Amino acid sequence: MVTVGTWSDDSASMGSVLKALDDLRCRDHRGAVRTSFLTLLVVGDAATEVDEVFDTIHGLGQNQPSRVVALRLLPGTEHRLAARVGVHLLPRGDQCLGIDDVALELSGEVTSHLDSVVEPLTLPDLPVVVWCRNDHPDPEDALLQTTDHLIVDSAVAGGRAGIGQLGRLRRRVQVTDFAWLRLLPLRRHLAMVLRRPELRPLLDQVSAVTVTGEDLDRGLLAGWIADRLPGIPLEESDRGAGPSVVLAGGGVELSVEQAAASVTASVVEGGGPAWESSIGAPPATTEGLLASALVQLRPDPVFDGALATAARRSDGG
Amino acid sequence: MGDSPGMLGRADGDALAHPLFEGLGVDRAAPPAAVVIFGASGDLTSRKLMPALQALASRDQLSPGTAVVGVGRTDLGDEGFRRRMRQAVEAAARRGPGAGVDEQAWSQLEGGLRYVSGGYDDLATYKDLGETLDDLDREHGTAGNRLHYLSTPPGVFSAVVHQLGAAGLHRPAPGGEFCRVVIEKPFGRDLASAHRLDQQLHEVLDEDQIYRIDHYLGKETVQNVLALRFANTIFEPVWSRQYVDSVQITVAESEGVGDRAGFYETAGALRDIVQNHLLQVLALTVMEPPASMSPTGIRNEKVKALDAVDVLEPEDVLADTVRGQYARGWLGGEEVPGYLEENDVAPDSRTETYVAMRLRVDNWRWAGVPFYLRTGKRLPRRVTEVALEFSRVPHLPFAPTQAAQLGPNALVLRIQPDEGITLRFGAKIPGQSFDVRTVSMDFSYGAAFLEEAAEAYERLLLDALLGDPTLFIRTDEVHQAWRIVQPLLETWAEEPVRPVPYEAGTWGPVEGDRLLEADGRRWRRP
Repeated sequence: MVTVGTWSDDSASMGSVLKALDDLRCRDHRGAVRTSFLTLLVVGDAATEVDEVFDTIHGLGQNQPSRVVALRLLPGTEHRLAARVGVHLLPRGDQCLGIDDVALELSGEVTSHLDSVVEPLTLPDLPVVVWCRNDHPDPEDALLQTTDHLIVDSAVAGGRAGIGQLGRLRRRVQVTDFAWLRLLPLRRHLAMVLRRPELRPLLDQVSAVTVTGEDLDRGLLAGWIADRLPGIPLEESDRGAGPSVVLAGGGVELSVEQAAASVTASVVEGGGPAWESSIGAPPATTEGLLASALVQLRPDPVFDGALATAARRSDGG
Repeated sequence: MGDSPGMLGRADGDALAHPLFEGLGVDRAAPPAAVVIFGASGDLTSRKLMPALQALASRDQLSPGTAVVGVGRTDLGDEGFRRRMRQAVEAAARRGPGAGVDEQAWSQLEGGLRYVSGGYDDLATYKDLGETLDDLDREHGTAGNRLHYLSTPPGVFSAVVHQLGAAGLHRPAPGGEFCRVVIEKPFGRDLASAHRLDQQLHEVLDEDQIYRIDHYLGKETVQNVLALRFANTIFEPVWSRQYVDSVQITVAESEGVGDRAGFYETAGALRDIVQNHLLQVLALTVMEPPASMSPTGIRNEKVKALDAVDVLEPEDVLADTVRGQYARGWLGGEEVPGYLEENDVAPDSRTETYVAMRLRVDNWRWAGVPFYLRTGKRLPRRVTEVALEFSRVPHLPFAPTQAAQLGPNALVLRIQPDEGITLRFGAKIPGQSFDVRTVSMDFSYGAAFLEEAAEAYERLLLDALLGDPTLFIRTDEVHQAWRIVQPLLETWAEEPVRPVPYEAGTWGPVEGDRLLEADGRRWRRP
């Protein structure tokens, strides 16, 4: 990546930030023709290392957002708006993709009006994606007014107890949860093995389902299964190392378990093992999860259904 | 078999409709099947097919029950075939941007690699093949499904298909759902031989089992022509004779004939490029909007488009076409040999390496708009593009000097390389005067979507496994394309004059330029 130029000011105004962006972009003759596709806002607390965030995002490669705005929210009531702006070019063949980085450190009352800070920095007419690294935002947060898509990680914030809040957020804005994305290899392999002709009868005869795993994974998987297969008895168990789903019916039991680096499906038929199939599933990196989230900005009705059902189950509904 | 959703979705009925499958992309994952490659010891298998299968496995788009059976005259054995395919996958990994071979994907494929050696017209070969496929159904879960890929010289297509029929391998095995046959171009040498080939294929196969592959259609950017035209409001209203003055389609190659002279001497640019790639791009450019993106919807419209192309009368062929042959010249800073100096080229060869032609599309939308098509080898750069040049405004309210630098509007679809769209329009030059000049607005797919597009063969192999024929060529498309080039073949065969020479590294012979100059136009410089 080539840096066209940088600018910083410990006591900035949004006007000076925007002027800096324009000035730096004027230096970028190769980037005069720009094709943009989204603005990514990253919201973190005082512990957030902004350079680490930018490194993660610059490592996205093919899914690079056109503009990244990292907001580091500091405690305290004293007004502070410090800014750092960078304009970079990501070479691709004989072309370059222009990327703008804006890092803002804020404290004081302005942290309650983040939408006013963010709005001028968003690329016109393009989706605004907000990645909340530490906490789920409040569903009434004004920042969500400028947000088209929210990215969270329930494994970091909220856990299973936060599923209800996530459900309320989802009613406000599209949501992608890294915790849900981490379960994709398991869910996909389950679907892939169920396509095998010899397992087709099981699909029509599932009479019991068991899900295992850590509390959050179990809750999401249970929400998914209960939403997809309503009326079928579903048991949650904390046995087993990784998350797993076991479908039983018609004398066949299919178990799919996600381990650290693989997903294994095993079938037991007539009381004995019939066959086993494994695929590699390396642990998901933050870059990989973020890239997946940015690619899939469309509504995900399967997640919505799983989330709503998981929230009902967690509330005892 | 009913029409499938094609490019809009999956293709094989309700077998995949289950709530647990939703949102997981399994509709774009191939069902279990044995992929049988005839001509497996050949270059295409190593260079394209096996890397494409490896890439599909790597993207988790192949079922664990996928096997690849190579068939060839060379006696490789299973182990030899595995070694060769491993080398192919390693070579592809070195060419690609990734970090080497995806070992997990390779191990998934490796267990299902088998090889059958024998002659293509020997029934014993097919009996061996049948036993191998039965074994794979039992042991590897290929579920009785077959995809036969004929990567052989076209002269043996008929023999392979008939022996498949004789051995009962032209249908899925019991419990299987499909048996399809993929055939590489050329589909015949002319209209009559294309009809003969179809007749021979149809003696054994139903048309919906035959997948005629033109890898050009697997290119993401060729499909983007459809997206640009039919997903946007602003282009289609001006996409007609009302606004379009002329259309230029260029398929230029900077390479020479290389090691393909044996084939090229019998084909030439007309059969190698015009009859298939160039006319397919033309069809996508002029076709009417389909009611849906189903295979039938799209292919029906393409056939109608080709059917509307006015076939040249023999006396018009000489006036409306130019054929050339590259001579020694300089390209990219290097001196390159002429066609007649290439290995395996006859010293008196009359094979054309350049074709330029003027066509008309006789329908309501395009009547009166000339279509200029050109293709050539050893042109200055490799580029494929469609350029629509628009009519000038009816009245320019500027002084002639103010608009002296203003050219006509143009919309250029660049298909390769640097895929994108350029819109050319007039803008005021900043300053006190009101001078107007032409500027270009560029859109680059590469800069908008950094995703690596799948290789054409990946896309097409997956579509064939999924039973989506949208991007394959139907028999009537083949016949329409031959119908258009047949007068050229016949007239040129009778013509005693050799193709006009052009210097390598130029945009073709001056006769090609004169074709447009006669109409008051000129070729774009892509």
